[in-house]
Amino acid sequence: MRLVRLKLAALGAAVALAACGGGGAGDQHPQVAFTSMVSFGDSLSDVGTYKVGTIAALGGGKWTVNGPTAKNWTELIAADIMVAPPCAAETGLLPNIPGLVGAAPVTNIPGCFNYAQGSSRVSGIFAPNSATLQAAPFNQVNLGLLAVPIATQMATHLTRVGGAYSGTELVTVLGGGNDFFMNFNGVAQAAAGGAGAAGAAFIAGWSQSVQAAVSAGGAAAVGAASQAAVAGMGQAGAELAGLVKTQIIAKGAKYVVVVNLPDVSQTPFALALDAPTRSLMQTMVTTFNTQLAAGLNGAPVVFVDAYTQGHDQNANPTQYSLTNVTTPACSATSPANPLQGSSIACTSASLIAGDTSHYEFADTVHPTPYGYQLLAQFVAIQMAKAGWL
Amino acid sequence: MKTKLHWIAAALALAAGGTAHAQQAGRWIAQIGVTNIAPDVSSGDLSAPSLPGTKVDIKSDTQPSGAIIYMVTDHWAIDVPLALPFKHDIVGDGAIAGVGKLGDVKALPITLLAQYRFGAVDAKVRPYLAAGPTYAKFYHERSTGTLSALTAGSPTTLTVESKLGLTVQAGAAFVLNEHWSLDAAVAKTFLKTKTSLSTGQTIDTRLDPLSVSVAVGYRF
Repeated sequence: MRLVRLKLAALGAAVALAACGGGGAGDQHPQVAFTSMVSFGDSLSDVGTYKVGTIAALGGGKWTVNGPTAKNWTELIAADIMVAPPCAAETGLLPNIPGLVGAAPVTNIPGCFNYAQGSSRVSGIFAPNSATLQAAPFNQVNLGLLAVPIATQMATHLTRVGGAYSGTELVTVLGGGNDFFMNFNGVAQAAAGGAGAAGAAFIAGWSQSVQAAVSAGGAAAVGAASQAAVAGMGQAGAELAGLVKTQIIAKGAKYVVVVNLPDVSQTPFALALDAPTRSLMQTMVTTFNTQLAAGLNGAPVVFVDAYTQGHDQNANPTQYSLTNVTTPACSATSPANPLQGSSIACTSASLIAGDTSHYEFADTVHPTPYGYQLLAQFVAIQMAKAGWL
Repeated sequence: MKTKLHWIAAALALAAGGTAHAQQAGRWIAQIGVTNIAPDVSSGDLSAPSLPGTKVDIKSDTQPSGAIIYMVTDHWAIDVPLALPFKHDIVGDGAIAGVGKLGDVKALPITLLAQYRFGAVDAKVRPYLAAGPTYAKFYHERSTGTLSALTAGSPTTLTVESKLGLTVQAGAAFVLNEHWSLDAAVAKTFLKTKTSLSTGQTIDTRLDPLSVSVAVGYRF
């Protein structure tokens, strides 16, 4: 009896404390009752397409510093809107690098709606380290990324759900980065000319006349390639805008977030290059973004200007609690990462020395979990302004 | 209709016939009414990590209120305003204007005013000025999912520091009769506070609320 009384007294004290205590979490539900999240894009939204074989065994699988709590922005937004954590709609990896184990055949995961895959382009099938480049005449020895184009990702989803959205999904789109890399590769190979330059032009997606022009090599080839690269990015931006309108909005989706392309010319990948090259890179990115924004002008989407936000983060790192915006956190020489610092296989076991928890970049182009958190927070602000949170 | 007229006539008679000395030394007056508190917020910026210029605004609230007034002399009074706790919504402003509600907080202002009432003790209208300290007790802060999403707190909680400020007040009592009066007052409180988030971020805000009260008073 005495014990019971003591317990009751303790309970009473606890209740009193709870009642007069400081802040608590109120209703955390968003304004919109979302039922699920559907994501299209590339490595920046990929939640584990390649988390198989050797990559999974290393503890990798996302394009960041991998770890138990490492999330990319799509996972953070899913938590914000209180829907199930996103999972990869397709998994697999087809490496032809000796000693690297992949996963074939490719597996479809019916209940998972994050279609984003590392290296995916808007519609091109030739992408950085894609399995499509292992065949002749390219004969690449590479990771064998699936890199299903965003256009195909969208079509696959429509097939899965019977051709239409229910209207209560949050749909996210972020692409263009790999169109950038393939177009830029075309420029980088142009000066040398020959079959290499022509091949790079082909896989970038350039016309036969540009392929012929670059095979001559030299300054003229670089000029033609630069022009084609900028035009190619504009085309990709316009194409992505068209896909958002015809494959998402017109199919009944009501809550669509489109994130534009962050400035690749501000990544560690670009910082190693000369100023004219970085200037071309920036023009390629802005041309993509201009066409994307123009194509979506007036469309009912939340358009997130990650390009401008990234510039602000770079200019004012302290404001964002960033300690480094130029150096990758993942070590390029760690024996724990056989992929030379690529974030897909990067974990806390393969970081550079020191505290990298507030670095912007995991590898030469991908954000750390903290970088993704900043992106997610910025996306959340835009969603809240639209009345969705 | 006739009854209504009767009542009005009776009220007028009462008002006209009100005995003087309704507000003289030694009298107690109790008031009951409503008060609207409208913060006039000037917000600092939320500390890092945040968008530059992340600010907040705090919305007004109206609650039943009252006061206990003691006439120390014919002119000087001590006024203790009372009210049910106010609940103020905290919304985004500045760089995050338009994001909507970030949370809410309950506020209980505890004020002690020294009041000077002008005019004769038997005047029908007695304007007054007052000043005194206010202790603003903030409690029961509640965050929204929006605050959590914006600050990556999963969930983020907040605490608003309770603070001491200064209140100045101007008002007037309209004496109806020996016992009853109407009262209207406007008060300004100079008050600064700091809000802390569970993410470790802080934001300073100058609240400087304007309070408008109307009340019915009864003199004992």
